[in-house]
Amino acid sequence: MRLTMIYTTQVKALLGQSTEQIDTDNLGLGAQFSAAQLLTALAAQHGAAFGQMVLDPGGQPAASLLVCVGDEQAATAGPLTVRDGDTITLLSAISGG
Amino acid sequence: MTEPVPLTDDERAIYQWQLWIPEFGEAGQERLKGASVLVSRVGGLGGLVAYQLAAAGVGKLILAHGGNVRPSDLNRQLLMTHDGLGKSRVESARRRLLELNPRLTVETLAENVAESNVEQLVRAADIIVDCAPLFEERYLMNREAVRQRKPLVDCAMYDLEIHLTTILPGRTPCLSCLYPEKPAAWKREFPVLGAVAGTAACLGATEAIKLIAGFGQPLAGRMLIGDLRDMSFRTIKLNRREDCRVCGGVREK
Repeated sequence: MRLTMIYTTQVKALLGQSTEQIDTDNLGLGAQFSAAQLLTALAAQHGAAFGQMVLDPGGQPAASLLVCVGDEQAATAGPLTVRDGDTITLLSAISGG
Repeated sequence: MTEPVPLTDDERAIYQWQLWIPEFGEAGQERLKGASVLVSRVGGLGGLVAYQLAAAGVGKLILAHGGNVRPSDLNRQLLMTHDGLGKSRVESARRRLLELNPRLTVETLAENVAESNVEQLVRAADIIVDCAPLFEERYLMNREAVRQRKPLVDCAMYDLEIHLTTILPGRTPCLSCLYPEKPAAWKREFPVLGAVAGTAACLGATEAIKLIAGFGQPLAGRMLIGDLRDMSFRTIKLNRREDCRVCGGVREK
């Protein structure tokens, strides 16, 4: 399944990129996967600092992160409902400036 | 939410052009005049929120921001001026706001929102616009807004990106639903361009005006996200967290 990742704010700053095309087969994910599994697979590619930003110490999506499929916030418990071609956006909490 | 206050002839002249907005009109202007808005803080974001609300004719602004004006404030904090360096931020804000709108009532607190003052600050307001940089302040205002069932416009920015949502306690997700914890790697100092903070501020002020005057559709249960690098804007549908420690079980009045 091919997906487009959109990285925003601190995640974008860390990676130095705002989008990435991914193939879930190449990431070793099955037909169904959770947000935690997706983020863990991405962390294996992007390194420990990314992993620490998007995952908590227990390997679950960080409590300061919203995972959105298309234009809707996704539930992070259980499998993500995604289809080939979908866009997944990671929104990290930001504040006033 | 607010008690309308009749307009004077001078005010009808000043607000003439916005009185032409359909659904707003004199009734909306009277509601703005009767409204009290808490803005925390009055930097790059909150300063512009306060300025727009003062220009629009909100009756009372309650401003909380500690400290004195520093050189590094002046790229974005448009209520601060060069001759105010080293002086109180809220006093600079008060002076500039009253220059724009001498009819405005301004209450200032030269402290940031804290556990010791948040209950009273929120109680004095009809609506809260959260522009604070520290997540501890944001969580306090969110908690108190939910407790007192007051709407809160949550404005945020980073680099050239903005996030905006409106929290209606009992109806929409609150800040703690969305982000139960602050980012672990959060740094107090981060990239800020004044024009981007000001964009988020003008959007937040518009949201507050709509809520007070009772027209349009607020960003309730939705978050506007924008990246001004490529001028892309989207609206994300948000979910409440049933087990939220702040608003779980809270129902709309």
